[in-house]
Amino acid sequence: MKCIDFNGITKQYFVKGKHSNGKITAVDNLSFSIEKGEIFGLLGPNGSGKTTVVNLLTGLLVPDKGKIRVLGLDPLRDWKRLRYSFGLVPQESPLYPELNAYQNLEFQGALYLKSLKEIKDRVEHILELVELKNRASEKIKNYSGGMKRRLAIGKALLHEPEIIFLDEPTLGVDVQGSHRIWDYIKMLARQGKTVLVTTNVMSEAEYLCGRLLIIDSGNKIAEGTVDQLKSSLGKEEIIIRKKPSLDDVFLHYTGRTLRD
Amino acid sequence: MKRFLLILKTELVSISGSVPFHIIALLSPVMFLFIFAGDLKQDISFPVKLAETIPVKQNMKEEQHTAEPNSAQFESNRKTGIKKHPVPYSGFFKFLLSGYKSPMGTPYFLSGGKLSPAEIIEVKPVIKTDNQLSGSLILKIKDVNANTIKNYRNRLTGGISAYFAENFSGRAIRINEKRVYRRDPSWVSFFASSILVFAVLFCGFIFGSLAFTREWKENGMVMLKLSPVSSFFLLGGKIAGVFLKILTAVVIYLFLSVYAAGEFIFYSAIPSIITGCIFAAPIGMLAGLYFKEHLVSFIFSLVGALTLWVFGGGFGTSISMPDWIRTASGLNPVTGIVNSIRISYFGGSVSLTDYLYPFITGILAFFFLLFIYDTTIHRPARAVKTKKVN
Repeated sequence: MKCIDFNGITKQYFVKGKHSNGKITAVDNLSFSIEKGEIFGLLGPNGSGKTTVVNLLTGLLVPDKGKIRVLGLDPLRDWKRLRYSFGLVPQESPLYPELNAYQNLEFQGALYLKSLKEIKDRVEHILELVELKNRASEKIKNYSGGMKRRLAIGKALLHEPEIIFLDEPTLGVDVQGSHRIWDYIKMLARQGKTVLVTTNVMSEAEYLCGRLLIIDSGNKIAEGTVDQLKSSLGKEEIIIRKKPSLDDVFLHYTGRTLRD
Repeated sequence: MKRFLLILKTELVSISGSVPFHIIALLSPVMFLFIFAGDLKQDISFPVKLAETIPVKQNMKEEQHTAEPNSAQFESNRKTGIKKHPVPYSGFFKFLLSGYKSPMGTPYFLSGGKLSPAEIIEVKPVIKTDNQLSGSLILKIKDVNANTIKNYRNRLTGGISAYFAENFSGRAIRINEKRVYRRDPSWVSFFASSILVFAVLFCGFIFGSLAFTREWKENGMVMLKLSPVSSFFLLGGKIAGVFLKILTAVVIYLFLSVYAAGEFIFYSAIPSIITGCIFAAPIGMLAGLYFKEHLVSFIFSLVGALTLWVFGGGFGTSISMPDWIRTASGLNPVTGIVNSIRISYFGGSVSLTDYLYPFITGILAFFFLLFIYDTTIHRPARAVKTKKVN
């Protein structure tokens, strides 16, 4: 059984504005699937629909057409069961700056776990995992961007979900912090968890992901492993550079135009 | 239960993230109290106009109450019209000073003199014709707490009306004294009890709204939306935190109000305070859920609390107000809270409606909050009918 099945999904938003008055299609008849234990990358420029896909998978949005199955369950109908099965790290870290790391994790534990002992044990474990144990009593507003991101990942892992959705996990994080976060993600996959990562950082996608889906304006552009995508470029590209980077692949499929 | 306490604990610890709002919520009622109590501890004068002044005609008999007729003072007053003198006891003013008494037998207006808490200082000539009297007098009250209560104006007007009714036939004026409270409170105590209601309302609205505006601001709403725990559990934890914050603010206010009122006055007002918390907290949380921003919620809290409090009798009962204000006051749940707090301290008959109406309104507000939160935040939106993909 596929872990995630995203089948023929269309999602439109109604917008009113000076330059637009009508519908914007965020996702247009998009289909993909993810196997259990896979790190799957969703690549796209800004506004391509990556966050919309994640929100649809978690049940935060309702699709206009199509069918979504997560662990064989419908995120809209079976939400009570499914919410224990996945964790989300949104683009903006949901952390309370006036609380410390311990208090942030405790509150998250109260939303998911059953007993106080279980909460305390898991909080200690997560602080060890994300290497914030020695700074756990400091308020989050004093944390660096990388520390906040690591804590946000820790929050998503607190209830031991099977699936992790990470929406641009290294946004605003320096190189060292990014590499540490990548290590966590790799470790999650080794533990058998299924990971969906959205990103527009090519090196991140190249390092982490087994398979990738490139989308633009809600449409599937290309799908495959990193090597398959690189091989899909024509001979003339190879003449220019001996070894095209994933950046080259991405720009080939999505173009260089700014998305504003 | 322990998980519930974790949610409650998060609400309390989050105070440090919005300290200015908490300080304003705490200090505003205290400032109100000190401003009004401080102002009214100074001398105040209440002009009372009996009727429109009519032109003096040659055949009118003139009465002067500032000096004996044919005295030098009388002549001087006749020429200048107005003089400020302590009033001797004669006729009309003698009646006011000793004749007009409360049902308990205590004269409302004590005799003049340096130590007297009140003094009639200014009189315009009372012109008497065959069937009309006109004039004005000014009563100077030197000590608000000793010689006046909330219906001081009614007492003075009542005294004047009673005098005319007794001495001039055809006046159909009757003064019926109805005591609302068992004892006459000082102005400061009276106002302090009323301000307590404002404190509960304002704190309830602000702290309630902060429980959700904080979540919107810090993107915590996403995690609440994805949480599997029941809405009732989550809202219960948050509202318990709001209650604790209101009660803490009230206790601080009570101790500060001792310096203004000179007495710790609210030991018997606990049922009213709790009723106020039950009324205000869910309404504040609804505001926070809807407005999403600290500042907008703050403005709502201030305007809402002031409006409900003023129309609930915060400055005084609505008995002498226009009909529409009396109607609004009758519909306002806060009126019951204000009444019950005053009666709990000053004595009198409490009506069960004063407690029940705001209590039931608060419970309904909580269940409305639960419904809105559950359907718009906690549960996924209803799925549209999806087409099967072949």
